[in-house]
Amino acid sequence: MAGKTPPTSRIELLQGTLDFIVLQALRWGPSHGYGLLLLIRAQTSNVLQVETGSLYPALQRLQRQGAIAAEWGVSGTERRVRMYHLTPKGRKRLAAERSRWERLSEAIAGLMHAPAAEDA
Amino acid sequence: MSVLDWLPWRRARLTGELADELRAHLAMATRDRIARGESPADASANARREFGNVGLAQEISRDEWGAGGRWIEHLGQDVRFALRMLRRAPAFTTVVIVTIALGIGATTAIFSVVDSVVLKPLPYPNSDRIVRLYQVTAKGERNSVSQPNFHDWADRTHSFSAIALLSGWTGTSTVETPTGPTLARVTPVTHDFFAVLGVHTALGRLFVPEEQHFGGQHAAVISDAFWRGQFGGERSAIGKQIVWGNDSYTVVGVLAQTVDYPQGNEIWLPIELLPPSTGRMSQGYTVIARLRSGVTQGAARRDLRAVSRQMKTEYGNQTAMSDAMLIGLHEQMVGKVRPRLLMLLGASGFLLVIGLANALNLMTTRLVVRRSELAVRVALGAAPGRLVRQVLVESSVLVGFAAIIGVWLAVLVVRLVAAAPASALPRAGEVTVNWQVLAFTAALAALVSLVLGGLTASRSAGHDVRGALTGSSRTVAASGPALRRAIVVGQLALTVVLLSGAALLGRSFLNLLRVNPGFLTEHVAVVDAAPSIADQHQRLDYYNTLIDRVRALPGVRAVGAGTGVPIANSPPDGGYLLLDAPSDSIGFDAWLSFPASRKGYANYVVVDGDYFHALGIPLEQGRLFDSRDRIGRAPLAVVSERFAAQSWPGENAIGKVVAFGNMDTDPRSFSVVGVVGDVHDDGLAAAPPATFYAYYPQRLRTYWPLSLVVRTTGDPSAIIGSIRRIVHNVRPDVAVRVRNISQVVSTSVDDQRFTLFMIVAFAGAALVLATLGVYGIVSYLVAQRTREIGVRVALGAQQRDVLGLVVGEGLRLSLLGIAIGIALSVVLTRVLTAFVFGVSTTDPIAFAGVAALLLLVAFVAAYIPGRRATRLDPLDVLRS
Repeated sequence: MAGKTPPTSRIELLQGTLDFIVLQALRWGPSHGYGLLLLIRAQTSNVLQVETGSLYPALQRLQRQGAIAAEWGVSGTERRVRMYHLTPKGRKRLAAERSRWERLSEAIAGLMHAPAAEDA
Repeated sequence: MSVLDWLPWRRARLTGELADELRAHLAMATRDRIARGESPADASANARREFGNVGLAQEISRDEWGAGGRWIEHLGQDVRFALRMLRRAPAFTTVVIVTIALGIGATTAIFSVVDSVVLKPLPYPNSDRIVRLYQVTAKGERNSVSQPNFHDWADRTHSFSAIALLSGWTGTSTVETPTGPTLARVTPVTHDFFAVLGVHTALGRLFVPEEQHFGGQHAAVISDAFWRGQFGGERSAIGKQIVWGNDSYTVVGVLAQTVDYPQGNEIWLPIELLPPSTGRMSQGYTVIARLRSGVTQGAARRDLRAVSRQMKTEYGNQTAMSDAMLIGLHEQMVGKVRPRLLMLLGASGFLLVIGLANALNLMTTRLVVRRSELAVRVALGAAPGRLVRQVLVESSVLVGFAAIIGVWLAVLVVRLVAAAPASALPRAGEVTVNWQVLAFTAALAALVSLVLGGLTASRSAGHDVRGALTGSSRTVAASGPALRRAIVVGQLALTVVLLSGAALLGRSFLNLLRVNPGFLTEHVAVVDAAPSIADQHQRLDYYNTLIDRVRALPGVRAVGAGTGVPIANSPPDGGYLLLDAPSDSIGFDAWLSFPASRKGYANYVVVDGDYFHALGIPLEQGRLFDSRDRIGRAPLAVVSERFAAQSWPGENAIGKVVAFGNMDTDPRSFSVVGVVGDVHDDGLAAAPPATFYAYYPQRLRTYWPLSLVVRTTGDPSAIIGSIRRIVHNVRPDVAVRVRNISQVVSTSVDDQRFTLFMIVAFAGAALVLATLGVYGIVSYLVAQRTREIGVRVALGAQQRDVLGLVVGEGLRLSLLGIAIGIALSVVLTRVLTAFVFGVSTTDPIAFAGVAALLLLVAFVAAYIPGRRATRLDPLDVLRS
């Protein structure tokens, strides 16, 4: 599934990143799958390429792991949709992953801004 | 989510939900696009494009539910598909299922018997420690035990935690219960008997010391079956009286249902209540013991033998025991039938393999038919693994149905077996299809379906997809016709082995029935009606009254009585001495002083009335007893030819003198007045034993009850009622049993009949399967060579040539199979050596018969498809 945006402007997700993104997005409240997709796109200014084909497996996976739960609800347009929300277990995991991600991005930022001399 | 989500119905619901969810997603995306100004058609198409492959997303999402669920889901699809395919080919399905069901059923049934009889320990705690002890003579013969020898064993050996002696008499005697007189099996036992078995009563108690000495209180313990039959299973049975002999016994306990030793016994009494038997030569008792924990059978045997040899040096001629031996009780009970059962198990295994071969040929033939279907599926992207699995699933479904039918067949067979008399099979009543057996069947079915599916799949693999798709019948691959031929040849060979076994056992059985038993086996009734009369003369009167009244019945030709009736009631046996002149006082000392050349061993039958006429035992020499020989005169004897031959070889037996003193404590010797024909008393297969007949009016002290033998002109069952009435009128307290001697003789060959029935059933089934096999292969070859045949016919071949071509091929295979089978049989039927009678295990007649039968059947099986080949229209064939 090739996107329409040039590949350079979008970032392929790292393994496990999608789960974190989904959890992070659900922090704002329950959402259905399509809503999540829109939310992630909006919040990352379309940079992160979340494939629909990956989102739903991720939702099933997180459900199986107990990080999120789902129930049937009705959307703003009176449509029967499956709404996902974070479970307490999911919140705990999100907290853990957040600190991991922060440390990782700090480390990468450190590398990026290191003096060029050390490269040689 | 959990493992529970692997359940197919939960998965179906989850799958539905996921589909709904994705549909909602697409709908929302489309709506948003329309809102942004796209036309509805574009919006829908673009939303789908953006989403990507919906099916794939769904599939991958479902993968997250775990591999187990998906596996089960695919399995479900495969099973549904297999069921659909099998329903579409009912003939194929039925034949394969029945073929395998026969093998599985036979194997399961025989395994049930082997499991219950041979493998399962006796139903007593630590039953592997229960052993049976024997005296062994100087000649190495195994004998029963005398009471004094038993007491010495009990005192001197150290290997047993309990050792018990019981009466070895296995007949029935009259017992009066509150419901009236009945015939029951009564066994007097010593105090440790129940400790040896390790059993307790289910109701009441075992014997107490006050009941276990001479003159003590009379008590009896009864079996569960006797309790239910005679006391209606009421708890109030405890304390009730039963009369045996001239004594009354109080029922003190009822044993658990599982206790069945000696087999079929109904009443146990303390043997200590009876006068002790003090003769060291008075054998006839059974001894069983329980090994002390930690003592092996070998150690116990060494201990027992050392003690017994020491006893021999001490007692010398006073005992007939030179040595002793012991074997496990279970082994003693089933050792004789084990080879028979294992042989049958092997035969059922053969049947299973033959059936499997048939199924295999059918499955592969069907795969050829389905080549296009399989090829299409491969072309559409089915992984080869999935196809192999489909074949495995199909075979499993077939074998699964076959296993269910097989178990059902086995249950039917086992029900028949469980009803078999102990004469046919020891522990027959214990035979059931239990969980172990079902587990065995399940494992067997799994193995069979794996072999069937695996072999079929391995031959379906590597199909040339393109050939099948583009193809025509012209390119039908020669998918291993050599292997198919080999399978049919092997199948025929195994069938020959089964048929040869059946033929040999069948001939043996016929030989057995053809044996001249030496007495009449038709039109004779055997009447057991033993009274509890202590006075010897009253007892004689009782028998003579019965004989006179029964003789007066219409249709009765002769009536006699005897302490033994050939095959029906075994007589006592014992040692005798050959004297030079009559004596009135032959005692035990004489036995000790006589040389071995003037001693012998024989059956001892005391007779009255027209015993010999009634049984049709012919007089060969001299005369029979008559009423002039009654009370008061010196005892006379009639002996069998074999007795005369072993005692006085080459001499005239008439006038010779014999002492049989230890049979009835009467010290007077006998003079021989007649010689009669031999009778097969120990069964038709055994040589007739030497038999000695005494005249009842002259030997009133005999311990054993007499049975009446009544010879009739017609069917003896017609007068059974009259006989019962006569006995009841003479003595209302006597239980009567009337048997037709033809049934008794027939029962005596029950074990041979049982084996024969089983093997004939297996061989018959094998024959049917082999016929199907030959028919199948020839049909297949015809189908394969349709074009060739068409060309030949077009070129002028006659019907005869075509028929010869096809049938010849079938017969060539059959001949090869039969030849291999005969060679195999010559080796394998050797295991039958112990079961055949009057026929060699390499009997050429049996083998020739089997070969001829199978060849005929093979010819017919090949002829039918051959006929069909001759009717082929060459034009049709060549155009297709």
